[in-house]
Amino acid sequence: MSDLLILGLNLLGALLLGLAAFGIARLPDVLCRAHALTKAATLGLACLLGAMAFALGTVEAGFKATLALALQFLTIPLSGHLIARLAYRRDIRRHGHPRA
Amino acid sequence: MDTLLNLSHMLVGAALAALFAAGTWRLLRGPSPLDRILGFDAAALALVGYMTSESIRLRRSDFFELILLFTLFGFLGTTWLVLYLWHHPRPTPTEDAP
Repeated sequence: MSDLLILGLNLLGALLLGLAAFGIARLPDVLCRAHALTKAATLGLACLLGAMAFALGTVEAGFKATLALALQFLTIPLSGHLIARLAYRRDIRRHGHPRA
Repeated sequence: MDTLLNLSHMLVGAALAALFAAGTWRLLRGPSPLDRILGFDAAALALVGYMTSESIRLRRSDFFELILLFTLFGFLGTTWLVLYLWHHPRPTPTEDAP
């Protein structure tokens, strides 16, 4: 049962992290790349941390994984928001919006 | 079941390697400084994910403090770089090179 959960969470995490890598490499501007990184990579790491909690299988590991998850859900969107604000302030070239 | 688990660990490793490579490429080649900051963030996240996947594979909790530390240092590095650029509004000459 635990192995099935670990397998499913591993597969979902691999899919989401691969999507984040594709977005970082191929999307056309800074805002799109920040979107790909903050959403897909955060959820992929959440899946991996859940798999870690089930693989270790103790209450202590569950608390540790929840702590790391809370820290990442707090920090990764915050850094993405900072990057987006700086891109807006600097008027970085945007895809599909030619600069006047 | 063990074969499937090993296969899923290999898939996670491949995705993390792709994320690290994409982040490093963005760090070296990104057209604007913001792309470089984003690439650094992606590479740091890939390292955190690698530690997590190793602790899944080995079923040990030794890497946990390293996971917390790398998350924190990646966030602090990104925040410091963004705030530095925020408070130094004069762009470098090569900023918007296509």
